[in-house]
Amino acid sequence: MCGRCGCEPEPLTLQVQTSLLQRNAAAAAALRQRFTALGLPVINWLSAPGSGKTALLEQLAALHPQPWRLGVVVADLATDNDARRLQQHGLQAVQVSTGTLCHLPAALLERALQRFDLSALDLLLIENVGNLVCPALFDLGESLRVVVLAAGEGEDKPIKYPAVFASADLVVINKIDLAAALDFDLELMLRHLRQVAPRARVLLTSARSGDGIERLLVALR
Amino acid sequence: MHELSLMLELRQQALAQLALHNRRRVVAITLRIGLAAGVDADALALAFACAMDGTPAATAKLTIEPVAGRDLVLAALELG
Repeated sequence: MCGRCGCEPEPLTLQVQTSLLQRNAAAAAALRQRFTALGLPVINWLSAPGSGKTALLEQLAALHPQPWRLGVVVADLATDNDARRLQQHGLQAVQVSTGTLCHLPAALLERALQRFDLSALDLLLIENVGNLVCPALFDLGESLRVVVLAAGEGEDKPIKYPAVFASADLVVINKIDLAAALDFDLELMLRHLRQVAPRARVLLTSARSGDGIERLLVALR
Repeated sequence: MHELSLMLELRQQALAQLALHNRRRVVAITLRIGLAAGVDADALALAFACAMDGTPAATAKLTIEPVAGRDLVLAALELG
């Protein structure tokens, strides 16, 4: 209100057109530049809770010639259980506890990376929070995005969570050894996957039996 | 969920514009929400109320325009 006559100024309309995700996008872009400059491949490893993200990494660690210059950042709401499991398999693993945050934002990843000498790594893998919704939105500067599913999850999961599956370079269907016992219709899941991710590569694995782990290792190189 | 962290980001951007243009309050906010953004409009409206409470944007009218895509954009601000 103006001091002289008490008039109100005309409302001002601004066409702002800024993204609410811009801060994460900027941080992710900076990370991507840094990774590229180092020649470091980076994998964003996504799934719903319980598909076998950590178990698959344990199997990969057991198969890969030692020592494997792989760095893993594990994000969970709570506990450092997954980082400990990976450390027990000889991997350099750092745990990020996100508290109530349902995804790993680029800023938290950046902080976790301070605990690595990135120039001494051949590969960086980010085991994201178990969640098929939010992590899809948050770029981390990765060069490969992998989504893990498990036999026994609904065959229509891909069409229920189109954003994350559409963004996947590689989809791993784990626990394939349980398919028969769970009456899992693989062909139906693949059809749904093709609807949202026609170009994604698909691998079938079983962390328990070791099936497909070697092919997965080759795909991640 | 992260609707609240998105609305906190919105709050920061809206109040920054308010300061930049030397205005007193935010009258209206228009957001464009991508249909594939994985964000729930109702949860967003609730988070909006929480985030703006006690600020010069507390009485702002929120309009959400659904669009294709995955982005969430602060499209327009009306400042009073």
